[in-house]
Amino acid sequence: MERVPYAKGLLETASQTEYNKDGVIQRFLKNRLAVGGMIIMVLFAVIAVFAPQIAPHSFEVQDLNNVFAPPSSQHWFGTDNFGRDVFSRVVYGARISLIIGLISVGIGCSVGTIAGITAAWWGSAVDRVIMSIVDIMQSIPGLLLAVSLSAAMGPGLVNAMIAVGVSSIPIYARIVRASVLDVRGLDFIDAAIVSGAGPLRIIRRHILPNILAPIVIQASAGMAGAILTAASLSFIGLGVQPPAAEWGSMISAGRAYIQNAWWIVTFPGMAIMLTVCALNLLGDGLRDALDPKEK
Amino acid sequence: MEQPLLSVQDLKITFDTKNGKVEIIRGVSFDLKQGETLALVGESGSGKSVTSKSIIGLLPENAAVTSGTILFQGEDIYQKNAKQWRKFRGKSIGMIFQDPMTALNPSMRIEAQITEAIHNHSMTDRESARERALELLNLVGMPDPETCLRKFPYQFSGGQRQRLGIAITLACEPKVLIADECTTALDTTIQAQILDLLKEIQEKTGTAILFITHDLGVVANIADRVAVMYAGKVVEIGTAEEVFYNPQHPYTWGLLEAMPTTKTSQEQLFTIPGSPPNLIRKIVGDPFAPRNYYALDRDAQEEPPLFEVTDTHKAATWLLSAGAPKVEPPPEIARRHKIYQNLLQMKSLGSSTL
Repeated sequence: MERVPYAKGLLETASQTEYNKDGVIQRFLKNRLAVGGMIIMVLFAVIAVFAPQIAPHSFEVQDLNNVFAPPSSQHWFGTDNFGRDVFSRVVYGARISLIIGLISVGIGCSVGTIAGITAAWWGSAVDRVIMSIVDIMQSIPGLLLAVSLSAAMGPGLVNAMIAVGVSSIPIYARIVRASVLDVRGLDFIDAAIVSGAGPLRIIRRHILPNILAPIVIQASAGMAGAILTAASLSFIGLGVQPPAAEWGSMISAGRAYIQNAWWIVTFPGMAIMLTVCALNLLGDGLRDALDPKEK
Repeated sequence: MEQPLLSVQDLKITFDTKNGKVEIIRGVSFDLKQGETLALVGESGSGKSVTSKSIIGLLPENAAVTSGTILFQGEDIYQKNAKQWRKFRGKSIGMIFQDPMTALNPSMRIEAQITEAIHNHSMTDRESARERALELLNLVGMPDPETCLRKFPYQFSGGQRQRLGIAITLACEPKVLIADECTTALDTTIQAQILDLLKEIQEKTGTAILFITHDLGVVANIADRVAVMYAGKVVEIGTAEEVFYNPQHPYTWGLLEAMPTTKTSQEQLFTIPGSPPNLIRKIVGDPFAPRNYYALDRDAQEEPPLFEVTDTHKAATWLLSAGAPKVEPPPEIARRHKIYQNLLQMKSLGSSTL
């Protein structure tokens, strides 16, 4: 009876097809870590949006009679060297961190995408010029570039976002350029050219939708990096300025007291770690779901 | 004689490579009349795809047309500026691609893809574009066109995608269809269906087809005329009957002999020895000479021009020159006449069950 191995083969093929039929969302939902990351990020987003309602105290009112209070039922994460409620500051810090993450990723992503598409589509000299600039930018470590930009433009929230965004342009430009070159070689682009579509139309309708996956993946993972870089900037005093509640600057301010009041640095530190970790898990999950070949 | 729809005259194309300039197309000429199918055949690297790409303006950046003209309805298409080009291309020449898997945009619904092609060259409202899309899907034989419009390319099989690709190409109502190996990626039964479809479309719309392939079985099935290319030149051109029954060029003999038949199972399949010349080196004499059983001394020194056999039939071989020794084509060619007869007959019957 030779039927058995044959039938088994058929079954395997069938289940294989079944798996491939899964949409992007199903594939993502099957990845528990990624879903966990997403839940944490949604939670942070809710906290950021409703910070005034959630925070039990003001983030900037000082209470000098109650400095260095350890965590208690009144001050869940304790108070800092000015008697400010650490929990409320961490809650407000979520706001700033997410805004920095979103906007700097937005800057890097949009400029990088435009640069990458321009380089790949028009090729030759344009490509060489753009990619040389990108190479030069990438030869400087991201944090160093952000530090020098912040130092040049002066410290502050907006400048920090610009600095972090600009320092992430090269990676997007590279990814987009490579993806455009991939897609450009496919026949349907030639078909669109032949049917008389102009370059802008081809880019908008035929190229952009087909390179979204790598951009989305990079953006979600890149946001973790952006938040981390922004926190580092604030830590060394080039980012968000006090009294605004920013996780990096909170750690910076609290680090002198770590031996007596561990809570001032620990909770913002954990918040950074949790956000970055969640975003990375989310990015990994998105990559596996959107691009199953690259596992 | 009526004016040809498309006329390629002494086309030469050079590629700029790291190793210097290489002339890939070394003087190609042919005409294509309305409602006619011309097959360009040849090995990989013979220049058939480059020729077709130059007609449609898809040459890579490092390629340049160095001489010759391509006339479309008497107009030189290389005299046009970018915008005229774009308008011209969509309206006059359409291309069917080799790989149906990449010929459709994976992230767009079929409706959007067809109507976009319609909008690219004519101002129609959404309703009539949709009507036209349904019409086209009917024409290419897609079952249930209504649901078709809402689907994405991944929901179709290879043969169906090729049909959809043809529908998109036809949306521009091209006068010339270039089919670049459009059946190569399909299995034989689907291949036959697509060939039938092309013939049907040709009957209905009167479009001319430039069919690029290396499969002589397919050629016999669809072509009115055949141009055999070797090393960037047309070495033999004639009607399908002439090329299949009375081939003159030793390269055509080789190609015909190398075509597998149901009887070849016992003997070894014939192959032409060697491989096409590297065009980076300057070619002296006939580029096919080193692989040619029937090469004459003259082949090593001078490249043969196209000799006329009949009004429609030309071949570039010194065997046709005055004073050349009389050489009979290999006996295998005659033995195959019967097979071609069947294939050519099937073509006239309009069915292509291989």
